[in-house]
Amino acid sequence: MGDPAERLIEEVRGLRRYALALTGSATDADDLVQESLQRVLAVLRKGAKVNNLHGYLYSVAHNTWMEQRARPSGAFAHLSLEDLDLQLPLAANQPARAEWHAMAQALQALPREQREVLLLIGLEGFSYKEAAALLSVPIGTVMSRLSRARVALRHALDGKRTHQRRAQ
Amino acid sequence: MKERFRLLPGGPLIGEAQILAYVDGQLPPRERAEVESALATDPKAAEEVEAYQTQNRLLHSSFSARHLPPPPPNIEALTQAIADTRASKPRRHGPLQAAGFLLAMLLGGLVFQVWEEHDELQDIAFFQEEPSLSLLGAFKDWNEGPAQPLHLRSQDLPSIAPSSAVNAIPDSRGRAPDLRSEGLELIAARLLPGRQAGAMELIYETPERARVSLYFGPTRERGNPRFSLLQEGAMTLLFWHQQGRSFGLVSELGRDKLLAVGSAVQAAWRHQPAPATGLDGAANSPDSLL
Repeated sequence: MGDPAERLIEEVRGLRRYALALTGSATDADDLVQESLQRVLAVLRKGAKVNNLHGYLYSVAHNTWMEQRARPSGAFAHLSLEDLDLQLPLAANQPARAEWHAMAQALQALPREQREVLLLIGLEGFSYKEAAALLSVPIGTVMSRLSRARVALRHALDGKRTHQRRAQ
Repeated sequence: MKERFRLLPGGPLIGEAQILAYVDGQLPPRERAEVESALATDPKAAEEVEAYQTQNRLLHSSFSARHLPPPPPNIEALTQAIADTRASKPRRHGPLQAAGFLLAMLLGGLVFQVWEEHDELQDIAFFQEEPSLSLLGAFKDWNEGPAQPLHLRSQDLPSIAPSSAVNAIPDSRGRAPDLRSEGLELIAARLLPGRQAGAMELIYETPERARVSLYFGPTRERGNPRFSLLQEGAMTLLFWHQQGRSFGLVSELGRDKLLAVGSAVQAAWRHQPAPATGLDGAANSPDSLL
């Protein structure tokens, strides 16, 4: 994958995956990615060179998301799982629908800051230092948020499994 | 994060942070081996690691990019536009060339690399060991493009806190010269980091919106502190050494005006401390230079 254009397509694909997990909505995810890409393009057109595109894209997406959430438009209203279910095509080799639902629900129940850190590190593979720089927070804050997110997610998923077993 | 340590019988101490760092592949090989050895004798910790690894696997399988719907046309178009913009040759224009030339003259090629080698700078910007927020902000703004300098008022400049990272930036605690007597208002400042040291750029503006950029950084030069003047197209470049620093002014305002501004900067700097950098700063006498 040496072609820069192909690498960029791959980066955008990764960004869409991250945005989907972050926002919990395919529509909102693509809105976020679109606005982030518009900002990156505007910066590049001013003549700036961005060599660390990977980190830069996520950094812009983080700032964009924070701003989008602050807007009073209600564009980021909570979507029900039924909505999510309709929006997300599930492939045959994805985990069982119930398991996916449990994960999606547990993720969305996490506080925003914890969800962001967990996704950047657990899903996107950023180092603690990179995530700290990207979010403009100290590395200790990243580790603290990550720890709380992991514990909360674990409890939520364990609770779901227990509930499912009882229902069966 | 509150650390929860476990003292294992006959084994090493393993903490929550270590478990997380192990799961996320953030540990150096030696520490990783220590955690693995501890896990072998601590079923509870091993169970915790397994649970977090399962979380990661589930995250990946739930949100695999391969299962995303095709990108909408607007995202495809933006991706293509970014690819095209990155592939095209960067634009060069007079003021930037002149500034690059001036910086090269000033700092022996050091800051010229700023314009040419953004790779390393981005690494510095993004991966410094917990830089101060103000410095990080400055770096981030700088990363967003030379056209978007960090906006600081003159009174804000001393607030750029010194830290291990900022020590590389000369005069970060210096006060910006007040050039209102020359009809110039400070509108922005930005830090231009380099390999061993860096430079600061202060941007001033006249009421007619004509701009003057002042660059300064540390130097080993002990040469003649007189002004050197260079004309590069419409741009006038003025540079000199003073108190262990190199200074440069670049503007389209013309020779006479720039000399007057240079004189004012020089006078303003007489009371500034010498730069705290590793460079052997020469204390040139700021005699009358005009």
